[in-house]
Amino acid sequence: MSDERDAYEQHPSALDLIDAAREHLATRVLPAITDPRLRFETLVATHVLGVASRELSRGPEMAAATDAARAALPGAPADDAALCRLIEQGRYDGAEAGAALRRWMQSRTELSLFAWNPLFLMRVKG
Amino acid sequence: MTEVIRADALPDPLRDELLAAVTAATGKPAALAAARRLAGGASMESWSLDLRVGDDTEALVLRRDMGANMSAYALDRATEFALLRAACAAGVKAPRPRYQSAPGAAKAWFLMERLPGESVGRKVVRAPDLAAAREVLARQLGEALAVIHAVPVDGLPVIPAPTEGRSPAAEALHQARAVVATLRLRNPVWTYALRWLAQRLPAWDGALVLVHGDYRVGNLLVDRAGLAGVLDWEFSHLGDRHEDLAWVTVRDWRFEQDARVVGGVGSLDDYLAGYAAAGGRPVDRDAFVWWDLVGNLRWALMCHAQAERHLGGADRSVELLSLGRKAAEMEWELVDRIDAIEKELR
Repeated sequence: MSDERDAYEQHPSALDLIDAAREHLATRVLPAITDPRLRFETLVATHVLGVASRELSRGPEMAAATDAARAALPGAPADDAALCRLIEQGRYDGAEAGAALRRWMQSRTELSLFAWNPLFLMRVKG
Repeated sequence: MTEVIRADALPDPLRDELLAAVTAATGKPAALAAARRLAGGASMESWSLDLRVGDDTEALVLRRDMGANMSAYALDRATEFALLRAACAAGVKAPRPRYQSAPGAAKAWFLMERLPGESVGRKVVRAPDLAAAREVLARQLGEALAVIHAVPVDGLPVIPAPTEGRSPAAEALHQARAVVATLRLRNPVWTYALRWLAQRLPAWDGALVLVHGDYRVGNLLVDRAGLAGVLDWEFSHLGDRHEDLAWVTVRDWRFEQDARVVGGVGSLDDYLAGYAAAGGRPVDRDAFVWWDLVGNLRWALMCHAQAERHLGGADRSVELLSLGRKAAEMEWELVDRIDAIEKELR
């Protein structure tokens, strides 16, 4: 195997496209903006491209891990809707089941935060 | 965040409407001397205006509906005007309302006095020239809240109150469930938090007070001496004092100054000491914690609701959209705090 890759429409990848757009906004557009409101909105736009980039770079792996961990919870919920129904039925009212659910929700929200704002966890846990 | 626009950028019909109302109220000729658009909330436009009224110049702020309503529970401008008047009369530090639109105006507005000070949260918690203010601000926030909670409620306009037979806490959960139903999203964190909170409704002493409803850094004017005025009264209602007391401690209102629990500026002890010293009723720590958690849940739900405004096409804005992801910060906090409480109980 050489290090050549298939060049279908997925190349450059979605991640490459997003990163390029983010870099363009950050290095070319933002420095040229003087209007404070437009500058703030463009900072947000740059940020959300970073969010999408981090999520895509780890997305499939993250989703698989979360789903597997959810299925291992008491009651083996297949998806979030099933989990919500079990919560409403009191399946996690007990100490141990509740602790297991909270651990899962912590790791789930931490994955979301890894994409949204990796510094948040460093700040609040550090 | 403000952007400067020339005085003549205030649309002519709006200018004429304002000046006519001022003249009708004062019997004096009125003229626009300066106008500057302020970055306001997403449901209201704000302008800083200087008006010549007769021989005087008045420094004013205009608050005007934009059409979109952020919440079914928000006050209309006429009610907010009347509420501000009652609050100021009771000694609350807030801008005095001055003039308002005629009944039936297409987009209601009012003009209030313009107070000096900084309101942008990240500046309040960091600006070097406000360092001395931050030393006293937590205590002042407690004191000012006690004054708000002592405003006689029989002198207020009609504002939202808990449904008959429901405590303020039960009302808060009812409203949160209504937002979840509107969002049509399922999130185990919300489901779990709603159930956990419903099983632990705090004791309520029956006192219904004027609750500001959005009492936090970002909605307060701060100058070098500290608190200069309380702004943004559109979420005011009758409720439990602990709701207001806890809101300013929600992490997001610390603007990354996490160790300073009260609005990123000070300590809980100073804040509660100020509240008690100014005549505030006793604070129930369990109720305080409960309302803090509800605050995180509500803010998470509100963030999702803002994202929906973009996704539904009503207000296309990458900023609104991004809030839907920001909600994870409050959701993490909810799980972390409930987990800590449960571990303590074991």
